[in-house]
Amino acid sequence: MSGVQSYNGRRRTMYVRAGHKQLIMKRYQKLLCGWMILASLLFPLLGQQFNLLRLSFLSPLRSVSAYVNATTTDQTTELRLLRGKLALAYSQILDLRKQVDALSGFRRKFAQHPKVIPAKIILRRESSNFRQMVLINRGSRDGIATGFAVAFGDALVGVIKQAGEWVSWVSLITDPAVKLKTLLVSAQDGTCYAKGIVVGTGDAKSCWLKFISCNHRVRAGDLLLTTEFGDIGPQGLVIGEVLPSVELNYGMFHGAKIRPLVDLDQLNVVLVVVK
Amino acid sequence: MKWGTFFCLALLLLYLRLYLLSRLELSGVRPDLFIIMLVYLAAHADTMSAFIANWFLGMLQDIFSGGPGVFFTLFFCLMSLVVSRFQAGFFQENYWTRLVFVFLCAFQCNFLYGLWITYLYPECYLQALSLKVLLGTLYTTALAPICFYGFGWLALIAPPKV
Repeated sequence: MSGVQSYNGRRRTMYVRAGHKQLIMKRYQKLLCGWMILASLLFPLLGQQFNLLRLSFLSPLRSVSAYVNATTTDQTTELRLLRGKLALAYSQILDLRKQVDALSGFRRKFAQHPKVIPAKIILRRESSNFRQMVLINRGSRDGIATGFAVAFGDALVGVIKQAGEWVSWVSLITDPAVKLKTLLVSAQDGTCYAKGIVVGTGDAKSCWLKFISCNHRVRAGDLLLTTEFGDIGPQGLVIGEVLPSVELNYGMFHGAKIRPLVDLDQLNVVLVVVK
Repeated sequence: MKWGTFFCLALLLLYLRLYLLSRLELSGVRPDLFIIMLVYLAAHADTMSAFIANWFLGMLQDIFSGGPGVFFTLFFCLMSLVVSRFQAGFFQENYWTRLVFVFLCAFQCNFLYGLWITYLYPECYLQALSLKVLLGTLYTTALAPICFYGFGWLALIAPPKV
């Protein structure tokens, strides 16, 4: 009888202990959840340090892209290897040619500008669908800082948004975070006739031109250039051209839809214009 | 082993999203494979494991986005808890309700992120933004059956109990 009692007692103690353990586990789990959410909320408070930390996570992409470019994946036969190498060399030649074109296009127009840094795009899109940003393989170690203009030839492509040590995020001119002061140049006689502001829309193919005085009439095909009063790079980089038929009207100002001169989806190489 | 599989799969999905799916864009919109993984994990793993795994997924998405803050980390954590709470009696075995949850999660994620972007940058082109929200949601939901089949086939994705 006493043996049965002690058996039941042991079993009850075991259940109580198991229940207690579960309760403790649950409490720890809730604590852990809370801490993880709190830590996530605290990250943005680090400000610039948080962005640098994020960018340092992306730094390996620079060496990975270099490695992918330097080797071929298929080594089963010598023929395949040679074909791969040939294709690789050809793509490198194309990249270099684009780089040379971009540089010479830039130099033709801005011969006196002291320094530009060629960079390669290593991530064409960021992880969300709403921003228009690319990651380039140059960072603060190469002399890049936030706010530098990014060009292709004599066309403006974007602005450095965050500069990490090895890599940097570039906001393309179509990104909603970009606002640029601009000069409107007539396509017919080449005269500057108005000032305005270019704003990214988040749409990959177009931007808005805003705050044009009602005294000036915007014509389709007119070009937009960066101004000397803007916060970025040299004066005279081409931002885009005015599209026909879409026009905004608000009070004393009006605006139009524009499209970038360069196909931003096809870019591989860009130039960072050092201030 | 299972956590290892999860990390490998997460990195693979990230690679697919950032590089390969860029070629299958519809009007500049790619499907969000992490949302599908979020629902799958919340449906198949216990609450705590799913929470940790989804925190990691959100963090990964935040690191690879140029935007400010930790929107995705917080969203993934929150949705993980919500879906885990509903999963036991509601849609554990039901394929269609799981799809509905993918649709709802994708819509909420896109809508809230779009709202945040609009708040930060009021000059956004709302028409393009709304199209992206809708298209992103539908594209993600359309890919969900294939992904669920793939995850189920792997059958190793669910992290072990903590």
